[in-house]
Amino acid sequence: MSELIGLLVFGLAIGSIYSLVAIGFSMIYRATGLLHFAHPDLMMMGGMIGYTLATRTRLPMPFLFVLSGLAVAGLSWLIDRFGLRPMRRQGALLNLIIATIGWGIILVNVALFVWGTAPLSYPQTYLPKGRVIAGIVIVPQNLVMLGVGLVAMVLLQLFFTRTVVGQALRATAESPVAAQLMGIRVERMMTLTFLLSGFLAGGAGVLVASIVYANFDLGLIGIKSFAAAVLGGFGQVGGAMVGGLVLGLVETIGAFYVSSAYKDILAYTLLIVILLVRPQGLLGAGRTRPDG
Amino acid sequence: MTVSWLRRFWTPASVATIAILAAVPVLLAHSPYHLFLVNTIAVFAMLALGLQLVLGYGGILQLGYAGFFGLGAYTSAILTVHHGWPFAAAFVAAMAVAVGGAVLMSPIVRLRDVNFAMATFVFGLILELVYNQWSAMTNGPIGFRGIPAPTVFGMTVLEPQHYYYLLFAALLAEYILIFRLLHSPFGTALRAMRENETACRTSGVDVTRMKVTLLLVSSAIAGAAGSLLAHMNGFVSPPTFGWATSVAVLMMVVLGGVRSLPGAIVGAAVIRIVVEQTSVLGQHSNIVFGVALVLFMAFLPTGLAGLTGGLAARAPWRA
Repeated sequence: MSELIGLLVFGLAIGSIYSLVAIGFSMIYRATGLLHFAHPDLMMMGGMIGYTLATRTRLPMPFLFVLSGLAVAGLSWLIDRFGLRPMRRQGALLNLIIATIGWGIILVNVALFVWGTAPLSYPQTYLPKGRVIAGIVIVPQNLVMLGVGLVAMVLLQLFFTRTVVGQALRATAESPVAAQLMGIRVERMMTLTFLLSGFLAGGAGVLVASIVYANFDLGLIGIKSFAAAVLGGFGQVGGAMVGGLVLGLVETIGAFYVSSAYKDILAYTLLIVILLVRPQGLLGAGRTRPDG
Repeated sequence: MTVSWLRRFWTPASVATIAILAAVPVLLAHSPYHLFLVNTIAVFAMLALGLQLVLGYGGILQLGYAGFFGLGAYTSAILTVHHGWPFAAAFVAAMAVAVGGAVLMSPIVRLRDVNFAMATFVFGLILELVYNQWSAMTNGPIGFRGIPAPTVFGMTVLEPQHYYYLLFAALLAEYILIFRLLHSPFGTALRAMRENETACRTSGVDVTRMKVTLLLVSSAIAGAAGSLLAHMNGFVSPPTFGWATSVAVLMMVVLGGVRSLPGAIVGAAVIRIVVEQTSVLGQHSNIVFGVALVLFMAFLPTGLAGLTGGLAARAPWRA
């Protein structure tokens, strides 16, 4: 029983990471129709920048989250502004997707160049020891991860539903043309989409790198957030959040009861099945997108 | 009908190219390193042509292509080493297994554009994971050793210059197959599908079936290339069949021009040579790919074949 609770906490914690990355991924997809293959690598960059900040400044976790988030938001914006937007005008979606693959490779190599190949651990102060409370092993880091993740998601939900800018963003994601006709500056909203999704990816990178390691291949974990986005119906912010949490749980429990070697295969197979049978996602109503 | 595509294929340029390519081992007889490089290029040229069929002519993004390459390589390796199959049988089985994998993946053709690309990407990831994890069969990350040199018509193909002819024959056969396919009614329907899928469907073309056919044919090609690679190197390991290779092959197609058959071969040659040359850069050699992918997509989405635009438009190999 206590084991199961530990698993659930860990599953939700890793799931909240997937959620944060998946939200950005979904937002970009909805706003631009683009599969952003460099997005997981932006998460990786967040983890790396966070590592440098952590070793140099020893700032507490929330500060690391925000600062790395801001740095990666900048990167995300740069990629969009100079690497994608000029091409967006010409159309050809496949070309844009291929270009994002190129950006992913560039980011990985920049990370290799700056931080080298060895996995880097965050200083011990960020990794407090696990405690046993009422027979349950509580790893504080998981709680921090889950906490920061949930707070970020609640704030996002408020932002999207309660603020004018948030609603304009959602409108742009829903239909760029209609949004433009309503007087929303679509180009600006797209910029905001890339900034916000970069921020979330960067923050998520810090969270995940602090418990695993910071390394150039951290993007491999971020790739699973694609699965989370698909689970959530590829576009709804709420869906991406739930999708991430569900994926985290399924994968953690699957790894424990079935096989840890095959847990990634489990997650990916789930993704393909969902794409085929419920392209609208777990939460989605009967409506499917025309490209679903 | 048959005469027309043949007449298009046998032009002075194509005859000269084939003659030059056939003479390569003689020219490079004293340089095993270059022969090895040329052989590797030939394997990747097979892959590039196969991916081009799907991406360039079919207009669908298959991002897990290297996984099928791996299916062929591992099938051939396992059958010859563990079960004592002769090369020819293992080669056919390699193609069959790769096609089997594609059949397993084929339900995703119902998905459009982005979701399709995503599904192929994930399928590739799954295959790479299987190669890494299923140690009993694949020997995991350590790699699979001791794959024998193939025996064809009673002769064991050991020397690289002899192996070259095996690869050359396979590549030529593949090229002619694809050329033939593109100059058939299927090719016409393919062009219609790429231009406007809805209109094509409305005209009574079974688009789904065409896409499945493309996937199956391209996977068979990848399987064949995998088998040839395995027996050439005698050794295979999972990274060769993962995302990095899928991207490299994609890059070859993009570089050469997505709808130019010779372009794919040129792309394969350029990329392999760049990989060899930049291996002095060590881990950073990949950055060349990244930058090139972005630049090509931004400025030259039609690839090198686009540079020679006017010339290529009149060339006989244009489909």
